[in-house]
Amino acid sequence: MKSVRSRLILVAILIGLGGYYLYPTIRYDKLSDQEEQLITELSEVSQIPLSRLALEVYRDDVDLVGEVKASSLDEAAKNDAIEQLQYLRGDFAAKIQEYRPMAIKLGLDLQGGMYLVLEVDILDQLRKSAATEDETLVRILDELERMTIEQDVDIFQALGALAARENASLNRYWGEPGQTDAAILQDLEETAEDAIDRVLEILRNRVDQFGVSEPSISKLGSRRIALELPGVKDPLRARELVGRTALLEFKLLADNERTSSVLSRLDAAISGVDTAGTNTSEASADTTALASDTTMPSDLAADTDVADTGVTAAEELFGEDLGGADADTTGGQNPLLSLMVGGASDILILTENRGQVMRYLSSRENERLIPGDVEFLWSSKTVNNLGDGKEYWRLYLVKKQSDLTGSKLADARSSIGSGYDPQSAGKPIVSMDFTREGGRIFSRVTGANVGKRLAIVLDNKVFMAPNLREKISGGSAIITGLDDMAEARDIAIVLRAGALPAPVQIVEERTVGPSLGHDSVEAGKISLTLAFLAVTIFMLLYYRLSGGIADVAMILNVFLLLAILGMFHFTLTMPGIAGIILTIGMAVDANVLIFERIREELRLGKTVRAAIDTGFARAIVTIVDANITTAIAGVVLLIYGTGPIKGFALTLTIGISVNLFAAIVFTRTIYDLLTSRRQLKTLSI
Amino acid sequence: MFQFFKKPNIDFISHRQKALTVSSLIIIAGLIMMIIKGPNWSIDFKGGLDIQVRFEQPLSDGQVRAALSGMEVGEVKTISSLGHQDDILIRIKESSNSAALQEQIAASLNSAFPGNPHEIRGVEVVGPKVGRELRQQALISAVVALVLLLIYISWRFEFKFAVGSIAALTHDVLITMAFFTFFNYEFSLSVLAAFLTLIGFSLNDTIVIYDRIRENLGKLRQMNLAQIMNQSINETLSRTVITSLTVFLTILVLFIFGGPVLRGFSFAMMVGVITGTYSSVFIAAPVVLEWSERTALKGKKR
Repeated sequence: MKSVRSRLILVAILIGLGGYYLYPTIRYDKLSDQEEQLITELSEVSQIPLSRLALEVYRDDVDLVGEVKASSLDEAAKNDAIEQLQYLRGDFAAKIQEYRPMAIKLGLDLQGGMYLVLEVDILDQLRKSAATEDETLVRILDELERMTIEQDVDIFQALGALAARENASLNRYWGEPGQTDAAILQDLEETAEDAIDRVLEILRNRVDQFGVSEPSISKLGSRRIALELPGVKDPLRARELVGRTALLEFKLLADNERTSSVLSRLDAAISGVDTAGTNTSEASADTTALASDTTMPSDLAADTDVADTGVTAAEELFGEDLGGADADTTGGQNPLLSLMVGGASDILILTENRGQVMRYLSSRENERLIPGDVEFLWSSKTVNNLGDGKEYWRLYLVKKQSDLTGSKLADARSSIGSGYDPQSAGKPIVSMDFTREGGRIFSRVTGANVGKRLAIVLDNKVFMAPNLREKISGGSAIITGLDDMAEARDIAIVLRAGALPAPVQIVEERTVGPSLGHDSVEAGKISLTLAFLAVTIFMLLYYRLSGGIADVAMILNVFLLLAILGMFHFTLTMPGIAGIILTIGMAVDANVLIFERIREELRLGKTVRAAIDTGFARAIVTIVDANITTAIAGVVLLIYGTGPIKGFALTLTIGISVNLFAAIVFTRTIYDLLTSRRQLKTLSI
Repeated sequence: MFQFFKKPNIDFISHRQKALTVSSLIIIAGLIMMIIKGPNWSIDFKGGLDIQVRFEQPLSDGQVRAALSGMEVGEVKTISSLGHQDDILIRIKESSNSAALQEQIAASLNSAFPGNPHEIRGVEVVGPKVGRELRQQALISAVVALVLLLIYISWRFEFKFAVGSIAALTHDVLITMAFFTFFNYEFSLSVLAAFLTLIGFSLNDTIVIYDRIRENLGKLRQMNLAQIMNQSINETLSRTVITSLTVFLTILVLFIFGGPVLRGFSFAMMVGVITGTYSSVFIAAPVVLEWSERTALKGKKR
């Protein structure tokens, strides 16, 4: 160590730098408290819900001023709200934006928010892209699924191995004719990687439009995507927004006769009746079928394809021999049909029976009885307007082939429907514009199928199935039957961003509500203060003046640790606060080692000056050894740790490094200052 | 000068057998408990769904459990935090289709307690596969840390010292795990962090003593190893106790005021600081002694 003076200058420079890097954090902390207050006030004046304001107040595409103007508030309140809004979005936004990027970031556990890990379902993509789906393939894919759930395997390697074991050529299912298995695997892998990148891109678009500030999206390993959505107040919406595949399809409903016969055959098979008899032919509508001559649902208007089916009184549509709507008559006669209410054009199933029907429809033997070109789909929501106060799901039989998909959309917007139609007027809707090609297809399909019903299917759920009354050539369509404006907005967002090339699954979620985060911050502040006081007082009592020096060193330690967090814009989490608190405890350790050593030397009768010199020299070896071992544990945690562990390891590791500096340079310098001026006879230690 | 120990001269080394017996008893009891009850993994490691709710008017966990009786709910318990209203934690083993489950729970609670709205304060979902991976990763990090520490200590001291320190920290981890099981705390990711810190901390103490032994080995040639060890431990005793005390104070604060998030973490650290101090005195040095005596004996025979 060079002269005392140069070390003092070094310490001063570090303190200055520390202050420089901490200042934005302190400013930002004040501003965000103020922001919360301003937004709460605004919410009270403008009557706009707080959760919405928090998300949308800075967004350019949301016209809050217009909303306030159009609201039913009195003039004074309107002016007040508009003034506050303009301040928030103008001067205040500029200020807070200036400091935010330079402040220490608070982790999701402290500021509230949502952390999601999504896994891209490659298997589903493999299944869908296969040319044929025979038993061998089903077996291979099932086994593959089991393997990937149990352990982290390379899907494509495993697929190759499984195919080899089954003696099956991959060429049967994928790739160009004559392509080798190795080449196919390579192609499949590339497709999968490409799919994940596209999922990432699409999710980024969706999240950007959702309106969280500073979202973060990153790839995690080969098949996962991690999303951080700070400040999300409505986790349900966020989950739907990112988890949704957003595959929009337009599919024709199978006609009533066909629906009846498929259901009858299933029913017969389930009740154990031999289906190989005469009434297996699809056209045999003379069996115990559902009535097919029911009233048709409301029609589809030319340019606004509105209207979900109006529910007609259900019971009368039953044939006598169906066992009625009595849900309890499962087993025995008509196990399936007895769970259904309504006609073939509008099959309704009580909510409590839905699970049973799903099981019937998805069992492997029964699946075979459903013709290959059609499939059963459920409605997106329940209906309860049958007058009996019960909740029903709708079931539809639709053609598998979709006539038009969301990829042919040019735009999608949410709005409140106008006009006279009771299904859309005054209710949230999503209006879609097709591309030119999409518009042509839509006009052709609607023209060729007048009188039939077209289901609008989003992620395999039927949102509506209006009747096609005439050819629709306007190149646009709308979706109705939505709960609220928020749902309409989110659907519009996902439709605009496009469908995910493969479905995703949430494999990890950590959501912290704002109030829990707030509590954690409070707990952290109290703990920090108390731990600090306890250690400070103890050191002062035990080591007197030297204890005071150690306390100053400890303060410097925490100060520099926070400054480093600010400098690199690191994230501070609750476990991170634990790391800081632990640093307080450990920071004095180095000084304790030095002090104890000096005391020993003093006991041996050395002068103050000599005791300090040897004490330091001997203690430093120990300090370095002891801190390096803790640092090794810290760095390993930093490298291999995930989530909460990383935050803790970060502050701990920085704390240890700063600790070394504080003990070796800072404490030593203070002692040198004390002893350089005059010859000390005693040392307060 | 205010001191805890004026000039301590305690014969630690000859008490090593007794200490070893006490430690072994605790560890064995802990292991037996763990085998019988099974370790209490948090959802981080076994997968599942945790929902933390707070009702406007506080309810007991029993009432909430009754309201969810139709669902396959695993565990419902009250988490108390100092100075705040208690929350209710609802835990479900199943983690697939977590979004639907959450909606179902919210709906059930709303219909069971119509006049008493609840706020969902936090949600944690860990898929079974992720849980397994996190467990694996935890194991890897522990092994990597141990190997690196072994290398470092072997380099700075001697291999037998490294063995002694590893014995001491294994002891600390096992004792802490035993206490964890006795008090039925959960092993979560943050507890894992506590264990690894505890390893670092245990070593910290051990190394301070080793350092002194190494120094005294060169200085006090007339003494035998056991005497040198005793003297070294006594010389560093006040430092060992004071440091452990300051760290213990901060952890105690964290345990009381840090809230439910850090309770398991701080409990592990509290136990760890105590056993870490104890083991560096009674385990780390005696192991080195035993090792040296045995190798010395072998050397003579040859």
